[in-house]
Amino acid sequence: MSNINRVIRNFYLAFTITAFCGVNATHAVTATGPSVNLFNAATIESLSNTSKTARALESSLEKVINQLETQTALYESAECTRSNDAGCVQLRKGVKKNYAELLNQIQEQLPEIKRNITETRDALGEQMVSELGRKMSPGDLQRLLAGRHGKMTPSAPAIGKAKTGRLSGLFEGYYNLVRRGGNSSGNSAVLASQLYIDAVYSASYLDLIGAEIDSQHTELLLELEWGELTAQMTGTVGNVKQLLWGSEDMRQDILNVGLQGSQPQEAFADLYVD
Amino acid sequence: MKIANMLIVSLALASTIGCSSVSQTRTACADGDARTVDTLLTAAQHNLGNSSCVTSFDDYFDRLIALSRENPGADNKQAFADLIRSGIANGAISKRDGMERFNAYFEPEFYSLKTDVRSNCVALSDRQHDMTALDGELRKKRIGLLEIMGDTDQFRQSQQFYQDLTVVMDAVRHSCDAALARR
Repeated sequence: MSNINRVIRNFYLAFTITAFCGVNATHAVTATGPSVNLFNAATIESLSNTSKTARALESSLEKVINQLETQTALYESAECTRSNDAGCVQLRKGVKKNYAELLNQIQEQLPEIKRNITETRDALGEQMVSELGRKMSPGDLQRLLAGRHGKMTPSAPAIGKAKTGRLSGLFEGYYNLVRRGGNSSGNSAVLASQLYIDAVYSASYLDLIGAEIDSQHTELLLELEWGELTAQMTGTVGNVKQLLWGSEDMRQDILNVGLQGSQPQEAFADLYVD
Repeated sequence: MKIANMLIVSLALASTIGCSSVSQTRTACADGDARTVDTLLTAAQHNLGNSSCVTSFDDYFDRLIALSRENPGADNKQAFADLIRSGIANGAISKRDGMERFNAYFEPEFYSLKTDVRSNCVALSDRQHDMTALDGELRKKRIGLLEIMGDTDQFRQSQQFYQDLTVVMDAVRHSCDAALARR
């Protein structure tokens, strides 16, 4: 059971990592720097697909989760943890059945989510190589992040708070941010980089999760049939809920680039390097 | 035997004269136990006019750092600019060295990235090297921006650049490697 708990935690972590900055950033891309096109049509489309897949996962699991919660509440209120009467045994079986269903559905939908995330990663990776890797030097990159081109011009994008913590909302956050932010700046370079790195790690996590679920499936079914309801199972359901509806604690603010205005540098122009 | 003794005496004499010369130079190039940034700067600028003192530039720079840290303020930046200009003008350091020092200590952006003109797919292939350079420069910025100038905002800006650059450079490096692997 602890393995499954870990699997669900990893699953949750994968999505949270992938989407955290998309959730927390309101659109704030400004076109003050050199023009780069990091989010092309393919990237935007794959982001949209990932969002849709996540929404489908939410819908399919929502019913099972609600049933599980109702059954668990009933199980606890009837004090079934210390009873083996027929009603409690039946209730316990129902909980376990729904629990197995929950894991099965996650397992079924992993491949499509993985495919979408991989597509997003690859599409974005290609753009990064083209726009940032081959066209720019490290100095260009720094100037891009500083939001200037040729001379010092401070960029001060505003970063806001998330409106939603739902799994689909996380990807929608990315999607909307990118779709509206066609004009790239240093901020979009950071956003693209975070999204790319998150996609890389998420794809790896999803591989691990898929492998773990596959290898433990038989063992899990046996345990669900004969084992007791445990606090870990309840915790797993809680984790899946977090996966679906998010957790404030796991979010981080998107990095904010070059917020402070630059001081006049004329007095030291002979010593500064652009 | 006599020849050997004479040789030993000669060497001892030469050594004494040499030490004396170094000692005289040190005395001539000393900053006069300057206790303030201004007095140190004045002494250093004066001494750098003496060709035998140009090798003392690093000592003046380090002393200026120490004194400035004791009295942080925005004005200290000007003192460093003056010292560096004086060092360049008198041939103690090259123009490039001077700019590198000034930018590393007093500019939020990272000088170590500005001088590399290669494309990122080539330039960023050695993460360890990049991070060593960025880490070293961030430490200098901590001294320059925070401890010498007392400018928290600019140092935070520098930290922000560091964070952003790390993320973007990692992503670019990974995507370039992945593209290379696909070929």
